[in-house]
Amino acid sequence: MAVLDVKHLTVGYGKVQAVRDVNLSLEKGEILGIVGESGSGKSTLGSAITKLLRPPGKILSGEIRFEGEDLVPLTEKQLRHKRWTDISVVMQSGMNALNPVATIRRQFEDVILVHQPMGKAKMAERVDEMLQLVNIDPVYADHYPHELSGGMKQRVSIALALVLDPKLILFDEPTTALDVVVQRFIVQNLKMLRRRYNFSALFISHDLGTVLEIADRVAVMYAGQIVEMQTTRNLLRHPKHPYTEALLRCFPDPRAEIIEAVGIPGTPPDLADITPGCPFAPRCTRSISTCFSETPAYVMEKDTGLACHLAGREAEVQA
Amino acid sequence: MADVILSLSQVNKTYVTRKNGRNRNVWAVRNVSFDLKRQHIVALVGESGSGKSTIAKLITGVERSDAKSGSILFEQKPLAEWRRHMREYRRHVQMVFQDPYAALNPLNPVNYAVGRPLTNYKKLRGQAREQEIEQILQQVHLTPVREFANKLPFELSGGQLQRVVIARALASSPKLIVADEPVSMLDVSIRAEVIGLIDELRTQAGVSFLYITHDLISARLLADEIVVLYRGTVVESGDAKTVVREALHPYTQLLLQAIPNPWAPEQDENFDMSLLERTGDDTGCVFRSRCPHAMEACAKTAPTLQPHGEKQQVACLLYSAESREPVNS
Ligand SMILES: Nc1ncnc2c1ncn2[C@@H]1O[C@H](COP(=O)(O)OP(=O)(O)OP(=O)(O)O)[C@@H](O)[C@H]1O
Ligand SMILES: Nc1ncnc2c1ncn2[C@@H]1O[C@H](COP(=O)(O)OP(=O)(O)OP(=O)(O)O)[C@@H](O)[C@H]1O
Ligand SMILES: [Mg+2]
Ligand SMILES: [Mg+2]
Repeated sequence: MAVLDVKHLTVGYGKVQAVRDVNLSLEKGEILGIVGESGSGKSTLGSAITKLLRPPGKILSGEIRFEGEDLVPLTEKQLRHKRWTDISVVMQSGMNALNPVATIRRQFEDVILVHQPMGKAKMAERVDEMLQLVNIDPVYADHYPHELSGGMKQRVSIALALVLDPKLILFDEPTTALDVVVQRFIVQNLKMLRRRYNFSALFISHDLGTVLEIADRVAVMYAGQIVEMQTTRNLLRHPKHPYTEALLRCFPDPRAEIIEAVGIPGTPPDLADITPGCPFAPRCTRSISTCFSETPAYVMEKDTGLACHLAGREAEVQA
Repeated sequence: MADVILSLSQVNKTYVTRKNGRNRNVWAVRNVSFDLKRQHIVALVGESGSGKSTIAKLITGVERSDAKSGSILFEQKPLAEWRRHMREYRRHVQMVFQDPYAALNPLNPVNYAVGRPLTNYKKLRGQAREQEIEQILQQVHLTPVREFANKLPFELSGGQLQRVVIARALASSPKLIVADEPVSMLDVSIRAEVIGLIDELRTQAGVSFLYITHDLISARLLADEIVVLYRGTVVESGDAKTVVREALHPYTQLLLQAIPNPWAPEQDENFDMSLLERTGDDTGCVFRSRCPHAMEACAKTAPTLQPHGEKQQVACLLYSAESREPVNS
């Protein structure tokens, strides 16, 4: 059984439908990457799944099945015992989410004591172990967050999210504010941790390079919808949606003989005023007339999905 | 050298901070030297805290370099002399920052942001001012110009906003624009438009750029020369393509390795974790504590920037006269 199974999820902020009819599932030990440009609804999707949406954000319809149980109707009180032990989150601002007036050790102890109380000595052992996992010298346990660099704080947030061995972790842009070298370290570190703890994860980032590096499968979001989902390997080799293709072209190999800046001209649609047709059609270099009049359905097949009128018409289009 | 518009030579900047009641010196910039040729783009590349923004502040005159320090020459004239004509200097040397959302007043429309420097620096008014605004908006491709002129910041995308910020910088007809991470907050899909614009302004309007970034890919895309900074020190510099394709300094090589390469995931596994966040003391080479090739000599002497081949300079003992051949790489 899938750890997570999201069906027809729609989330709105008043008139804005930030997530529209999203379907995805996550197997045990799987990392699903979610990419898309700013405003495409990645964070909204992540917060909806973990039930951390803030008003006026609201789940309008759909199901979020976690180990079979639908989280949508659950109250915060019912969810509380799942937080940290079953589901935990690491945000971009994770490093600022640490309590500035508590030592690193205190923050671990607070989480452990509420959910899985244990003795002081055992706890100290656990804190050391967790810090070592993210390559931080345990002497930092007794330091305050401001005494750590941004990259170290983000690694502490990751260790904290892992401390009670959750089944599902949401990472929302965990490396975005960091240096390239530190980013790379965190990604390598997460790969190792996943092998060791076999947690499932949603990894949100607008940086396709990072997502391709860490994820087993990738969901590409555009204007609140998933437009394509494939295994990382296939997405790289055979992207099907023109938006995915365009995104991939934005990442040149710096060592190539000749390189050029490639972008995607145009801007995404206004989510408060969605009109029929494919939301990407105005920026798509391969759009046909149908793309402007009919919204393509999201067609799923096993672990892949695609919403594009060109699907299966490749030959015709290329001709 | 008339073709050099900006020249830094042995520039230093030390900040004094107080920690636990004790004064501590932060060497933000140490003995930095490089030249920026007219109509060229130089990229200043380095990790967070390497001193990039401090150099930008020294060049734009926001901060002053240390008293016992080398010189910054703009148009062959020392900054110390320009200080007596700061207004004129500001007109020639403009700055563009990372966050376009913070750079613009949310209550003022585009034509106000672009028009103000025209009034200030060029004393333009009325019709002449309107025409100039239109011409500048055209130059940054915010078309239809009349429509964009009256828009407020919240009505624009990040890429469009950054073009407004660049338009505002262009209004005084500067000779040099210092752009501090101008694309790092933008989506990859719209970065290209801003990068393309900077390139075009250099070619067509003859503006020189100092392009500050932590991203070697965009540095290679845009710049003629790259200057790599590590902890306030220039460790490598030279022709952009050569520095990226034939990186010499172990730090430049580390930066390159850190770029994800999804097409060759097996390379990732070789990324050396031990190279992360180690701090060293102040003698010898600044990169020594993280360097996979560090030798005993590296603790004793701080290497200086030396030419290597025609197109590159590197500050590393691996390439100095005593040990011509790199140990292994
Ligand atoms: N609190 C809110 N109130 C109203 N609209 C919101 C709110 N939060 C987000 N939105 C809107 O929902 C849409 C999706 O936003 P979201 O933050 O989920 O995007 P994202 O893909 O995470 O973007 P980014 O890469 O910038 O983080 C956007 O159009 C945004 O303006
Ligand atoms: N006003 C200041 N007072 C004290 N120290 C400072 C000050 N400004 C900068 N520094 C220090 O100088 C060093 C260089 O900082 P700088 O902002 O120039 O780095 P940067 O390369 O621009 O980094 P980033 O990529 O994070 O913007 C850092 O160690 C920083 O903490
Ligand atoms: Mg987000
Ligand atoms: Mg800076």
